[in-house]
Amino acid sequence: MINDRLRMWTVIWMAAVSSAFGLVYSQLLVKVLASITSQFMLSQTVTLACYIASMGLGSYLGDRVREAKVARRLPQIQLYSSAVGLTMVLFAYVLYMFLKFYFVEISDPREREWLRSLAWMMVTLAQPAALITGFLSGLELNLLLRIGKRLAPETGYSKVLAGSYAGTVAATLIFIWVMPQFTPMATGLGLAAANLLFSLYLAWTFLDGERELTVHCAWAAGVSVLIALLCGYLPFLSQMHYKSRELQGVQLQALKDFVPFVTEVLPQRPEMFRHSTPYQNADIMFGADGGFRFLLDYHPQIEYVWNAEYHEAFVHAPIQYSREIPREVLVLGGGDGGTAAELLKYKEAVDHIDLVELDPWMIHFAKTAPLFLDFNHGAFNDSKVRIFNQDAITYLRTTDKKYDAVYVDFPFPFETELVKLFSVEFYKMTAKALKPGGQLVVDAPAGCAKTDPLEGNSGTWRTSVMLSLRVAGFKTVFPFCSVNGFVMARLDERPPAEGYHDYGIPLQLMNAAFLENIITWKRGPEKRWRGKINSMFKPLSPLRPRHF
Amino acid sequence: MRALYAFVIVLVSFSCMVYELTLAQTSSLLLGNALVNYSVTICIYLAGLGVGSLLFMRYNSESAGPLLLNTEIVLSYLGPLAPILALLVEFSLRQVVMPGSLAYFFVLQSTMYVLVALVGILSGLELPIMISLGETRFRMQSGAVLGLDYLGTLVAIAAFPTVGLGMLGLFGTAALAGVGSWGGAVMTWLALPPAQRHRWQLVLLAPSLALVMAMLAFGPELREFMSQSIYLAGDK
Repeated sequence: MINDRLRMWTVIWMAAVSSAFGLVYSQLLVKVLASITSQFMLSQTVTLACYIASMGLGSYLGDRVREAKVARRLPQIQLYSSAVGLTMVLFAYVLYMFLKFYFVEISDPREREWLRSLAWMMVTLAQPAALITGFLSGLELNLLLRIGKRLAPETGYSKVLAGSYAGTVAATLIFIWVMPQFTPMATGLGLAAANLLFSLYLAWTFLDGERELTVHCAWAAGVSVLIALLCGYLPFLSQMHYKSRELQGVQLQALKDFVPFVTEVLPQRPEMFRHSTPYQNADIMFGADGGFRFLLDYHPQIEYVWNAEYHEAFVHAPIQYSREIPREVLVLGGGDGGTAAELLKYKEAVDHIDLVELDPWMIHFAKTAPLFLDFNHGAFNDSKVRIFNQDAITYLRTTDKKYDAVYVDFPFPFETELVKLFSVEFYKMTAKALKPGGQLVVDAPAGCAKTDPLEGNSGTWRTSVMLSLRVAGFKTVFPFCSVNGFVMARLDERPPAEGYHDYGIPLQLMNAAFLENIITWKRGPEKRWRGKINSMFKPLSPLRPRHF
Repeated sequence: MRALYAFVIVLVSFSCMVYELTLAQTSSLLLGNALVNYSVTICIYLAGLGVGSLLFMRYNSESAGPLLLNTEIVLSYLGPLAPILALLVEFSLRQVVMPGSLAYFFVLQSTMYVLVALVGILSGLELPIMISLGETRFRMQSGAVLGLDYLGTLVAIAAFPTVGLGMLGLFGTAALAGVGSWGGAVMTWLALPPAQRHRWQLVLLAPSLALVMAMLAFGPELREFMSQSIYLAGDK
């Protein structure tokens, strides 16, 4: 017979574990939905809203559980929770495949509202998992509070709540350090298995009758068989999901085609490579023609068909406009090595390049993967390139170096975290890192006024970067456009040079005609720049993605 | 009175969640590496909630009402001012220590974490107080109090990125939450029996109202000043 003190500790421990499971499940769902829709804010807000609202409902309805049944409900709740964890990711993947296949893939950017609706549909339809886990967590916390109150009338609530908060701390740590090491599918299965073991422990502790215990064990055996089965198909299921992302323009004739498509057509497609780091998901997808696409968090970064067009416009056009080859260069982002490789083509003229990249894996990959070495020519192994694995803001705030040119090569601000890297404050920091007469070049959602791939973002982001650069003190600001938009900015007033100058370096596309073609500032006069300025202290909403 | 108390619970939990989110945002602005700093801030806040819950064990249900009132008074100052304090500390630190040095990050991180922990502990104290008050004075069961608490959190999470940061900015959002704490404090004062409330508590609440109103009224000016003269000033 255990005493009340020991029982109290057991209840506190249970509160911690059950809160941890609930929070990790909800965050896992956020991670999966954010990776599918590329809309973290939407996924986080809707999922947490559903999770917390249903927690409230669970807590509220928990008062209706009769006192005699309070302890007996606990193992059942954990068993249900395990079943939800088991199916959560799989359900989201199948739902995505279904939406992707059943609705026509939208390739026309003018149909952005429709894309947005699909993202909303995806996030909303996946919420039963958050609703059930939230409800179960709230219900369980209520029951544990009641047991705690019974065991220690004065201090029970405080202790159980403290245990619950300790569990959420543990969940946050798991979320930061453990979850990025595994695929969402593997995480879901691992959590479901742990949850199942916990439910068995609770059954052993709280269920008195032999029949009740047997029934619980039978259900647990069923769930564990499902876990084992899904574990066997883990790599296959993950690959199926990655492959389904790359399908474009698929339209099914009837619902019955869905199953053959998933079981027969999809497995025929080439394998895909994924690496998850604490900062991002990196995907390499191979096409049937042997080409590849490199994506970070599902946003295309490099595509073999436009790689040269992108990097040559980004690096060489500003040099053409200023007629100055920068000696000392700072590259912020650009972990693929393409920007550094283009700069190194100027050989002796470039003295050194400092490259600041947050994700060490990205540098390692660019240094060693043959796919990347093909286009970056081992730029990161060049003695002129110095690499800083650091946050760009921290680097800018702490460096006292001045550069002839700063190239800002970040992914577009599709995530809240990236929005601050396109703000007035950030541009002011870069301005301080420039020598007099130096220039800033930004890869930004701006500049492509006529064939704007970002049409539908209400014009806010199209002009925000230019306006923010102006406010940051750049007197010369002009956009240009090739694969996507770029903006060049200088602190002094100096109009861009006309015509093309041949520096005698090997270039694939850059010539007079190409340069003339990417000039857009003449087409979009500055007086038409209207919109909001992006500030770290009052950020704009993230850019809406173009794909689903 | 019961409805008023239910509203206080929602208001109080809304404010606490917004304080936590504004501090996480400030932390990622000052310390960079948003992923880690955002998560560490949340961790410390949650741990603070746990410590706050445990602290309530030192009090009995009789003292729950005045304790909630005093906690709200402290939060109505600390919450809105916390992001400003953090920026000011960072600015002062840059005058004496080399930015980017170990000492710089140690002091700055410690300051951030102390602020987050303080807000967390005070917020953590609130929930057991509210459950206790609900049961003893307002005939409200623990489940109902928890449900209302989650409702406030839900509103905060939904409103922070859109109405908060997007429309009011960082300091305006912190001020809005300050209005919530202030409102919670005033309503608690009104709900308490005369023997448990004092005039000096109302006197203390007057400057906090002036503070948050000023922060809301002069939002753009404050943002400009904090951005130019504090956050960016003196960068190399």
